[in-house]
Formats: sequence, structure tokens, C-alpha cells
Amino acid sequence: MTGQFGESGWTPDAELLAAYADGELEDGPTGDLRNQIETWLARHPRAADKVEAQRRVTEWFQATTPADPPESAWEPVAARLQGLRLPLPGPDRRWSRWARLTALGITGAACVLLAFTLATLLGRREVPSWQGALNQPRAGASSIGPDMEALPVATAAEVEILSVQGDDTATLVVGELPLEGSLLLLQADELTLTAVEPARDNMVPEVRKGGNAPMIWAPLDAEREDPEEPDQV
Amino acid sequence: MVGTLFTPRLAGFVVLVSCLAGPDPAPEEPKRVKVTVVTILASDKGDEVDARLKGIAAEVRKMNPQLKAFKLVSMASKSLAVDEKAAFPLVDEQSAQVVIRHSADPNNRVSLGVTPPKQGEIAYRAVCGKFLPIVTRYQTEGKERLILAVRVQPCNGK
Repeated sequence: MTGQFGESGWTPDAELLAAYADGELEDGPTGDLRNQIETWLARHPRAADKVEAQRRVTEWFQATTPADPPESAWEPVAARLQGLRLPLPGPDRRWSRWARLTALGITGAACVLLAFTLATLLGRREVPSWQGALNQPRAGASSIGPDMEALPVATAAEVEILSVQGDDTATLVVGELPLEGSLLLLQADELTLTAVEPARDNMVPEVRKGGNAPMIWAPLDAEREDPEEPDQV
Repeated sequence: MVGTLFTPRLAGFVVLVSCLAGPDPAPEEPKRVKVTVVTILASDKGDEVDARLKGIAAEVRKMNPQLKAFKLVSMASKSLAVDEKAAFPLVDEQSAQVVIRHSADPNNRVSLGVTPPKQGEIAYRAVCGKFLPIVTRYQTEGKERLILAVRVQPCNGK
């Protein structure tokens, strides 16, 4: 509980002012300090108003605080608490650990046996929800339960596969691939070439016939060095 | 005068003629041709041939035995009307342009034009349901030769 010296002289700190407001600086060793504070408060009316407000709050708090019960009032309460013997949390020592595990196992086995017996007697077989969904017709939404509906799956006629990567063709579930099976090649009498435009470098592809199947062959630069005679189709 | 001309017999005749004539025929929808393009990469490395490509691989090998491995990269189809152009993506940002010049003629042949990468247009007429192989001059960085196979279908209900 001190103050500090500044350009305007000694100034009490907040803790010291609080002690003064609470009446802790009475006559005696702290009497000089109290007089010093009162002199400072006389020169600082705003601080004096705050100290006075703090003093009134302290007085109101002391006036409204109920008095502590006397020691004699605590004795019967303590006696009653001791007489209750409240149970403390901890392991139940009446059953050993192995006994409890054994009882739990027997109970579980009995439940499984009971459920199996009831299921056999009633002749009921639970169908998994996914299996039920698969059993539904593929087109249209079909109800498989009061709160569930099977996802409508399109049929092959309802899906047109426009493009697919070669490695992904085996992953398609529904729909017809653009190419089913092997490529069936045109025969020579099934093709009529009507026009062939040259490329920008004047390269003109050839029509080659390996067997009966014609094909358009655009030679690489290396192949153009030794061109073959094109066949007419 | 009018009552004399418009007899019940005449009215019945008018109704009969109207019924026989029927409503105006609906305008015929333009015939569309389904074009399928299969993208193939052939290489001289390895000898694995996709089972679906055995026929074309055999034909190409007759021309270039060094091409031993044939991989089916993709397959795509588009339904095109006459004079409608379509681009089919291939590999490495390359594409092939296809245009239908004429739908199936009485001989069940379709005229179309195909423009492979780095080439001019190839115009031809072909029967439906079979592929024309086009060995392009495009090679990937791995020296794989790009091959197209083009098919049109169906024609006249077939």
C-alpha cells in the first residue's frame, strides 16, 4: 500500500485508496498515511468522489450482509451428516470380477440361444435391406419398407453411353457401350472413297488393303520416304 | 338456293372425303446417324492386343508388322443430323471432326467426312455397322501411333 512520486508530487495508488475507503487506515501507525491521503484527496476532488462512492458501497454491503450463524447452530447439522453414512463411490465388493464376467457370459449366451430358437420357430428370415433393394424391379421407385424407397435404377434402354475410356468399359453396370464386342471392319466393296483433302503439308493419305478390309493410311514422314502404291477402292 | 345445293347427301360426301384425306401429315423428322469413333494406340513396344482389336490389329500388321501392341483408349458415339459437325476427343488434346453429308441412301450407305488430326478431310460412303480404320500420322510422345475406327449406324432401321 504505497504511492508513487511524479511531476505533480506524491500520488496514492488504487490499492491504498481502496484501503482508505474501507477504513483500514485508522489511528496508529497508519494514521500519518491516512492524513497524507486526505490531504491529497482535498486537492483531487474527482478522486475524492470515487473514494466516497467506494466507501458507501462498502457500508451498504456491510449493512445488508446477514450475520453468520453461531457455532452452536452448526453442531446439530454436523451430527446429522455423520448419522447418514452416505455410500461412497467404489467397486462393489460383494461380487468378484470373475463371478461378474461369468454371469455376464451366461446371460449373453442365453439371449443368443433364445433369439435363435424364436427365429427358427417362427420361420422368419431377416432379409438385409440392400438385398431387398436389389430384388426390386430395376426401373421405377419401389417401396421396400414404410420409410424406405429403393433407388430407381435406369435400364439399358434408358441410358445412352456417349463416351467411355477403354479401361473403364468393364465397370459399366447399365447401358450399352458404343462398341460391343470386336470391331467389325468394312469390306472392300462396302466403301467408296469420294474425296481426300491433302494436309497442310500436301500429304495425302493412302487407301490400303491388307486383305479384304480397306484402311486409310496416313504415312509418317519416315514412311513417306518409301511410299507404297495406293490401291483404288 | 343454298338449302337446295347443300343436300344431306352432299354433306355426307364432304364428310367422307374429309375422313379419307385425313389430317395433314406431320413433318418428317430429320434422319440422324449415330457415329461411333474408337480411339486406338498402336506401339512397337510389347505385344499386348486388346481382344476387341484383334481384327484391326491383324490388318494393320499386314501393312506395318512393327506395330505389335494395340490398346483401346476410348470409344465415343454421337447422333448427328445431316450437315451437323461433331468433334470427337482423341488423345493429347487431339480430336477428329466428323460430318454427315448424306443419310442412308437406298443402298443403305451413308456419306460422311472425317478429318483426323494433322490431315485433311476424308470423304467416303460406307455401309452401316462396320468400322473404317484410319491410321493417322499422329504419334504420342511415347511413339504410339494413333488409329481411329469410324462407324455409322443405324441405317434404314438396321
